[in-house]
Amino acid sequence: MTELACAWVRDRLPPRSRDGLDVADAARLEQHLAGCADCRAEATLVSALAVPVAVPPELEAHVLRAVRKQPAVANGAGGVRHYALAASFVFALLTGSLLWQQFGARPSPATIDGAVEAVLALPVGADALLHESGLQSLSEDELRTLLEELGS
Amino acid sequence: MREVPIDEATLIEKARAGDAGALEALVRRYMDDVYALALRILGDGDQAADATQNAMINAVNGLSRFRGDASFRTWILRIAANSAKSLGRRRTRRNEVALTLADNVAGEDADPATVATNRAEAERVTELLRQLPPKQRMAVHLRANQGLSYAEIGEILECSEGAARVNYHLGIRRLRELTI
Repeated sequence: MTELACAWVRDRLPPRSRDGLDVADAARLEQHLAGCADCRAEATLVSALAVPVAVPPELEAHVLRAVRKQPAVANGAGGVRHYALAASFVFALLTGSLLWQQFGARPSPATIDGAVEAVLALPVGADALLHESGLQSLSEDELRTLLEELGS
Repeated sequence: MREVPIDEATLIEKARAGDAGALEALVRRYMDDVYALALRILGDGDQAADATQNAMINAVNGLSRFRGDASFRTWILRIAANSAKSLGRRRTRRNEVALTLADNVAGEDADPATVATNRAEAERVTELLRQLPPKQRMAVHLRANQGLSYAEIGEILECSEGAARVNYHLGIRRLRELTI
């Protein structure tokens, strides 16, 4: 057997590599193995290494429980974007309230409802600025009152 | 009703859009591969379970950073390798246990004596695998057990494709010496 043929065969011994071979290459590999004891020994070794590892049956449930606690899952993988949108919405309302005060306008009840919902939907600590400002510790009524006061 | 398999690209897209079911499906899909790699690196079932959990949490939280340059499998296995190595550095070994092999040993449809021989050989080789240096051990596992290409192994081990190939072949050569 040539070294080149052996090298070609040994690179294709892992089962998943073999699965990807076309018919001609698969036949070439089998033919080589039939006549090369050294490559057969390596094929036996690689087959033994390919046996799957047993995963503890409880691991999946354990990991899924941990994963579900992550904000990306609890609030959807796009959760971070949602927090940012909600935070922007609320802060735009808060800072905008200064302008509204100046120009005599006030946010509509629907706008305030939206802001209240946005803050309440945020998990505690989801946005450091909101959390530090204490907005997230307010009840729905307290939050509504605050926003109405700021917008009036 | 029979569940229709969803292709990976769709799952990733849905998971990134906030579909918790898709995210969990991805976690389930790669749980075994991640655990197997962590176990090969750490040689400890409990630590491998911890590393699997850490890796999955990191992957879930970092999904927005997955750009698709590499396959999702390669990406998540690199996270797994880093989680396991990091855990290994922080902890001493607690209970090094014999690595348990799944029931579906190759040749399961053969006669019981052959199945028993195959299983015994698989267990012996698995034990010998521990004697290899870490990079060789990972390269051998990722190639022979997971069927990855050298380029993919290089991405996971953060080395060149050539280095991955060399590590694999050195590992296999060493194992063959040990099995004689």
